[in-house]
Amino acid sequence: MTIAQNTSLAALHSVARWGLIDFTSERNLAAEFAQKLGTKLSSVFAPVSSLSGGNQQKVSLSRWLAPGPKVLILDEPTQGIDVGAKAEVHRLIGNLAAQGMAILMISSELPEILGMSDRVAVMSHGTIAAILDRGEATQDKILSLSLEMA
Amino acid sequence: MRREKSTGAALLVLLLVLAFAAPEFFRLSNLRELLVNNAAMLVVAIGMTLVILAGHIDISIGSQFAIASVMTGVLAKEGLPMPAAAMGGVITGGLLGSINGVLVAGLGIPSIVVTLATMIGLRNGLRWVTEGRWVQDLPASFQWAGLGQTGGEALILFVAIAVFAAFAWASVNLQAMRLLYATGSNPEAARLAGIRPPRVFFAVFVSMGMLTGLAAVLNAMRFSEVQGNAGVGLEMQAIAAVVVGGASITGGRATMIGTLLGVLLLAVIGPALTFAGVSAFWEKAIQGSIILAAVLMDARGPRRVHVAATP
Repeated sequence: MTIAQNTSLAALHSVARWGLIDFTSERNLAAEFAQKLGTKLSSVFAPVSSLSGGNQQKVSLSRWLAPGPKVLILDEPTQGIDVGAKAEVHRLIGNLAAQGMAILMISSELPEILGMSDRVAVMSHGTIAAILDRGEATQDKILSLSLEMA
Repeated sequence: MRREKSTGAALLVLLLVLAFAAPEFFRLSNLRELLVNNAAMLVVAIGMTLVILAGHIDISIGSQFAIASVMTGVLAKEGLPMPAAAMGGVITGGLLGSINGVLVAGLGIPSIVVTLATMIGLRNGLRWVTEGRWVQDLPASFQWAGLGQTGGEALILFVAIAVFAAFAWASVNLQAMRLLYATGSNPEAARLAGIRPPRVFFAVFVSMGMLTGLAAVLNAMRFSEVQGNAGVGLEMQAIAAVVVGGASITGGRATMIGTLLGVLLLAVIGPALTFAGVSAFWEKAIQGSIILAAVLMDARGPRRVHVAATP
């Protein structure tokens, strides 16, 4: 499927009228998010599979941003993408949070957690072991909490 | 569109060879017969395109076709006007398709198992009811819909072309078709995007049944009697045409134009061999080789990337 089709998938009702897809508003939606997220693409009608991993991830993120959610849950949002794209995704998540979106990010990468989070809930053996504020969260504390035997 | 282009090119080459080897193939009467013979096939193949797009398969359509044919004949014999009898055939197909739909979408049984069961069950159920009899003594308004052979043939071609045009348009413009492409491409990603794959699958099997019913009507109205054993092997021809037309057998990629080209290619090969003086025994073998080639092209094509987005 194309980049435009992937972007509009969760928000099809907003680009369709009477069950018919309005290709102009679909293209505009895809172009808007490609610009916001800095997705590098030749055309929004190119197949998603033609993009690099990081840019595919951005298209995937566009899909979930397109319906305009209040809460965004991200599970390992930077897994398997290169360093540059990772930094961009981090910047983007920061912007979204600054605009007032509640973001629940699930990650197993400590630097990412420490760099991004306002609050950190440390999971251990399937339960939340502790909830730390930004100030009290350190690498040692998170590690020891997560490894503690329940 | 790359695979559709290869299918189109193969068809073109075949027609070119025929133009030199057997120009009599292009006589108007021969071409007309070829098209009328394959009109029902096109309608069925369009339905199969939907099923394969969804990542499923329906091998029960031959049996659905037989039941819808007999039902149409019986209704016509009971004195219903031809449009009503035809509607009855389409509805019968839709109801039979909904059996598959409930079992696949509702219970989550693999479609190959479900439709194998309904293929055998429906075919033998029909045999039990009709005891192999044909529907005879049909009213004059049944054959060619009472329009005479020329008018009837024109009607058959018109219906098949209209169905094709409608689905070709819908597959690009309709929101519902977008949901089908997304679901077939990656059912889990589609579910996460708020689509309910079971609903899509149910709709696909009902559509397949209705199109099979319509095809049964288009086929039955060419004759003065309705056979009780029509449509044997129909599913194989339909699947072959769709695959030759460039569809991915794992779902998510197929076009209506590809299916049209697939139907035409398989339709031309048989007569082409006859005109070229090749024994008819080779026909199935050559058809099989073409299907194998199409599936191999699908399997060896560019790998689809399933990172996070739907390809």
